[in-house]
Formats: sequence, C-alpha cells, structure tokens
Amino acid sequence: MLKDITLGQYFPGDTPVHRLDPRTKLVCVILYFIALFTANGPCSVGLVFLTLAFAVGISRIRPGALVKGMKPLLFIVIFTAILNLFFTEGEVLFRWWIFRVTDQGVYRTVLMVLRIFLLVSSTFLLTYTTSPLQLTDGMERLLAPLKKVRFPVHELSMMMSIALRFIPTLIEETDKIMSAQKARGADFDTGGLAKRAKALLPILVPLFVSAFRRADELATAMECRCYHGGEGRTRMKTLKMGVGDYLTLLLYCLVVAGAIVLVRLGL
Amino acid sequence: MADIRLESLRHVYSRGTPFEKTALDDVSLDIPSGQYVAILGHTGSGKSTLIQHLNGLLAPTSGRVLFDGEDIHRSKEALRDIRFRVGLVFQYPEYQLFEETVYRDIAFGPKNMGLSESEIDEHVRLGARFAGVDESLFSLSPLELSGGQKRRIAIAGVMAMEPDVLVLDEPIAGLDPAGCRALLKNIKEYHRSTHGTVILVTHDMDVAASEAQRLVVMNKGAVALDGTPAEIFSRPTELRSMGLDIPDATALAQALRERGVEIPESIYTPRFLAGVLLSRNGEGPC
Repeated sequence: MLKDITLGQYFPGDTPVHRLDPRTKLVCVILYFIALFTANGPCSVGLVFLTLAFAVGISRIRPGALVKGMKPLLFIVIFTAILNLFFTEGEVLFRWWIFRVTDQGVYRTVLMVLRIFLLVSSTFLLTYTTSPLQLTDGMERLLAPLKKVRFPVHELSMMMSIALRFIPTLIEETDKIMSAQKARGADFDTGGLAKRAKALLPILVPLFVSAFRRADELATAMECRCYHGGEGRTRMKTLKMGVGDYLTLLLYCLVVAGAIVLVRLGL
Repeated sequence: MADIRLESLRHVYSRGTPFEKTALDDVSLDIPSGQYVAILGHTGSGKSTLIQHLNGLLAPTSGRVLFDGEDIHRSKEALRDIRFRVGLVFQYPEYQLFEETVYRDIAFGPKNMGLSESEIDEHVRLGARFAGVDESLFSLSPLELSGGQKRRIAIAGVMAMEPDVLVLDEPIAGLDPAGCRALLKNIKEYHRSTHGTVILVTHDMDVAASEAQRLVVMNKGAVALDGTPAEIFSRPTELRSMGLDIPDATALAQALRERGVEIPESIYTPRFLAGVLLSRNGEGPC
C-alpha cells in the first residue's frame, strides 16, 4: 500500500528528541552534515556514527524504520558502492576478469555507503521526530532575517506547511482512486511501459481534479478566517529554547570540533 | 450462483508501525446469492474495510474470503475475475470519473473485461438504464455535470459490468431527498430484475429498514447483530449503545405504545405503521 511508505513521515512520541525545539534540530542536522562531510578516517566516521546512534537511541525510533527509509535510495547506494569498489587506485587485493579490487577501494566503499546512510538517516530522524508543522515553524523562524531583504519567508513556509499537510491526504486519495479503478478491473501491474503509463490516466485525472478542488476550498476557508499573510500574525504555540536545546547545540558543536580535530590528526 | 462466505476474517492496518490498528477482528459472515443485505455501523466500525475484502482489494491479515466455496486469493486470474463479479461502488464515487465522455467512463469496466465493441455497448446501455443515466448525457463530459448525475454515472460504471454481487458504500450520502429516493429505487429495481446480491453500506436506519431483507450491524470491527430488520430493530438499547438508532417509524410506534396505544413491536417502516394505525380505525384512547 502507498500508505506504508515512510519517506518524511512523522512518528509521534514524547522523548527528549521529540521535545527539542525544531530550530535546534534543524541546526543540529546542519552541524551533523558538516561533521559527516569532514569525517574521512575510521575514528572520525565512528564518532559521527555514534552520535547518530545515540540520538536514535534516545528518540526510541526503531532502527528498522531508518533502514526501511533507505529503500528508495538503494540504486544510488549500489551505484556508488560499485563505482568506489572497482575504480579506486591502491594496493590490489584481488583481480577477476577486468575487475580489480583495491584496499583503498574497499575502504572508500564502506566509507561512502556509511556516509549516505548516515546522511539520509539523520534527516529521517529529524522528520520522524518533528511534526511537519513544527518543522516549517522552525524554518520560518530560522530564515526570518531574510525578511529584511524582502525574501517572502512567511509565504514560503505557509506554502510548505500546506504542501506537507496535503501529502498524506493526497496519498490517501490516490489509494482510494486506485482501489476504485481496480474495482472496475483496471490493471496497473502488467504490460509494457507505454501500457502502464496509459493505465495511470484513470488515477491522475481524478487526482488533479480533486487537488484543484481542495486547493480552492482551502483558499476559501482561509479567507473566511481572515488570513492575510504573515504580518502581525501571532502563534498559538510560540517556540521557546530550553536548557536542553542549548546543551544539544553545544554537544553537536563539540562533535563537529571533534571530527575536525580527528581528521587533522589523520585518524 | 454467487455465495459469499467470510471465515474468521481479521484485518490489521499498518502492521508493525506505531499506527497499527485492527479494523476487523474475527468476522464470519455468510451472504447467500440474491440477498439484499444492509451493513450498518457507525463511523470506524469496519464497514468499509469489510466490503473491500469482498472483491479482494484488501487481503485479509488472517482468515479467508470464499466466493462460491473457493478462496478468491487463490490466483491472480481468480482475483481479477472476482473484481468483475463483485461490483464495488465506493463512497463518493463521483470523484473517480476520468474519461472525456460519460459513455466512455461507463465503458471503462466492460472494456477491462475484454468484451467486444457491441457487447460493451450493450453493457453500457444496460448499466446506464439501471443507474438512471439518460442516454442524452452520453456525449457530455462527466466533469461538467451535477453531483447527483456524476454519482449515477459512477454507479452505472459498476453496474455496466453486470456483477453478480453489487456492493455500495454509502451510495446516498450527500444526495438530495429526491435523488436519494430515485437511486434507492434504481438499486431495488436492479436487485429485482437481475436476482443478484446487493450489499448496501449505510448508517441511515430508515433506508436500511425499508430496503434490505437482512441487516448486519458492525461494531468495533466485529459483527454485533445479524438478522431481519424486525429482529434488529426490536433491540433499540443495544443499537443506541453502538452509536446507532432505530428508524423513525419504530421510534414513533414506541412512543405511541408508551401512551397506551396498542401497536405490535416489530414496526420499522412508515408504510407499515400507517397500515397498523388505519386498521385500528378509531378504537382506543385516541
């Protein structure tokens, strides 16, 4: 079922990770990326790996959910792995036909695959533990300085929260329309590419019709409640940074510093 | 023959995630060919999940769905065949119309059955007649028509497959009273002339009372009550505890009884109540 895809889904919970301010989490993910891309030795990569493992442990997100989220990226991972495994110079470990595997190749492959995994998992951890609404709220606040140069921060974040809000709705709708057309004998799973593309028509047409209808209804509903943009708008839940937030930020800064030091030392 | 048998059906949504939810729990049901059954239950009682098992859109987590004694999930071909034999009309079916013309939309099902052009034409006209779609609409775009007309076209699209079993999920929700009456009449007519099974999902007690031969009441994913309208509506307290109600006629009869008018218990349609009251002909404390 479409419903079961995990990309960007929020798992409600009440752990310290869930309770963190979304701004903290966003900044931490950026810091984590910096540490991740700085790290290139066993010790530094180990450090970033442990950092994420620690965060995942606290968040009580099952590691299985993170691995499952990697599925759509399987192709890229395999592609990177092959490229690194066979085309890296170094001391040859063994040869087979035109392929040769070097020690550097194996090392780089493990590093790259781990890097991709950590990169994706850390963003997943963010979306798994932060509701879309909090996330856009946090982004709006973080980007607020850009308002000075007339960048439409509020509009952008409103658009984003609406888009995010409608993803599950549209998935559900797609599911429903698919079921309805299947009930009339539509076949989405067999036939060549052209036939399959054509089979999508009975789904796409009703989906677009309903998406436009929903957009229209939402616009009316927003106007009825006097929405007129971000100016002077207050929030029901104002974001507030706590001690935990500052400590977390400090911790991530230390991780970045640690990674840099380890790399400098060549570890 | 088109006997449906459900054997201890269980369905769990989003298994293994925090959103896990048991929608059906050990449902066993026999629906013999030719019956007009209404499935009742409040929102979230598992009605919609149940009917999606009847044509194999959902596969049971455990348990079996048998059609004429054979498991519908035994092979892919069997499953596809079942989709044509058990016609399922979803809630708000008007949102699934997609073709350029009404005719082509109704023809979608028959075309998928692999029929010839002339057979398709025959099926489309038949479906349209049963659903009350006038042939003058055939060349119009379904998206331009009114809500009620769209609903009829969508129902015609399922009826055009001439299924042995017609399943309708809340077909009258959101229709005006006239459209409602007409549609129910069309469905009854379909039932009478094809001798097919009709399974109507609704939470309108009056509709269930006046249309169906048998009522199945769902509650919390299980079958709570199963019987004739007279049997079911003689248990108002149980129905109310499940978030349902008794038909207006039954409630009126009950109120009259409490005020000392002698009326039999099993009244559930206005017509029957009127008959009983008229036959009393002025006697009693009126």
